[in-house]
Amino acid sequence: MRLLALNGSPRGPKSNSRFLTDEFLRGFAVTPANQAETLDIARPSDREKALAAFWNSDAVLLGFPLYTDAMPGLVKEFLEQVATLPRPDRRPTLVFLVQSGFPEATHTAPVARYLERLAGRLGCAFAGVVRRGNIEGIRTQPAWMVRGILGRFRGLGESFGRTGQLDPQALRELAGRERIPRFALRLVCWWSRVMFWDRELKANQAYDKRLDAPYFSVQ
Amino acid sequence: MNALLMNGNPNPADPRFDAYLQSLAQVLTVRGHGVNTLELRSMDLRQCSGCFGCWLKTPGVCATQDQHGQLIRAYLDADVAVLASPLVLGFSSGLLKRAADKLIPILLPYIDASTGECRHFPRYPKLPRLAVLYQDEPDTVDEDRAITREIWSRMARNANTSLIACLSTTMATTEVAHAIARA
Repeated sequence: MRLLALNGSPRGPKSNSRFLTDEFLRGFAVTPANQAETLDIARPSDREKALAAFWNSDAVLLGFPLYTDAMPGLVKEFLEQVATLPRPDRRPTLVFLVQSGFPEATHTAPVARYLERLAGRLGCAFAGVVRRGNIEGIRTQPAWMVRGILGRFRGLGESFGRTGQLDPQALRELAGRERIPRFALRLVCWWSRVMFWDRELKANQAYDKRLDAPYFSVQ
Repeated sequence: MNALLMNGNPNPADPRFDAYLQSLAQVLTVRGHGVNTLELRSMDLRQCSGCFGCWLKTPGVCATQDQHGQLIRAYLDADVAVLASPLVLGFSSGLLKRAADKLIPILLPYIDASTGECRHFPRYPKLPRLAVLYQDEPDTVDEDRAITREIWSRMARNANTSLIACLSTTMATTEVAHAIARA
């Protein structure tokens, strides 16, 4: 199978979406005949290559971070361009990977519904949406913290590489709970504030300005 | 009531949507409301790069040198922001989505769990309510409209505001104006 893996993160190669995509592809490559090419659509040269290759692939994996509750504008504009290109009779199977910073699966559910409808609209087979929250910072977390989750992405890639399909039950399990208990939510809020946001603000000498409202005067 | 019409029509060759918005603006103006229209395709709005600079380096301000400041000022000045675009591939245009992504500086990085779900705290005490205005594609079905509404409802919730209406250009501009002004 020839798989075109498109990273739709505006952060490009150094993004969480690319990090997870790479794990998926490690599993995909276990099947000897499989071939994959990865392109970052935030890079103009890759974007052109992606447009040229999209309709000629057996399958396309499109991964992106959740931006304001849907795909980044970059991804939507790319898809709009794809749709203007001549479509062959034999069209790729579409697989999507959507990751969010927030931990609950409820945030990624609406865009997943959209993506399934999109595949049908483009006349492509739909293999599923790999969804996972709580991903922000995964690239810099210690290996022991991320081993389990990366293994699941590899497992999905291996399964897709072997069968061309994704197990809906495995996708549901990976997406996790629609909502998480309040105590866990409070922990997320506290942890992210203390261990990430405030540390970064202080490192950037911006902590004192963290609540600034620079456009406030117009209100 | 001050309305911001965010015109996300990416295609100047299709004048129907722009004409509809002009007519809507006239109706709102005649009724005594303030109207500010931003033609997004004419603005220099770069893609949000996800750098978090607007949260962690220059709080409240995007590091990109483009017209995001004009967009944010107009957004904060409005009582209702109308997210307007033709449907493209079953959802609002990528141009409109790019503009929505550029509104991230109006939020703080800190996460609010008080509603039982994560969302970011607002940076500003007053934020406009949102309305969506779309123009059907030839093959639009109810599911597309429902998905569009659902996605923007989530966006409104997470942006600390509410979606007051999801409106179609098949409706009379007087009816749409009434729905917006009622907010």
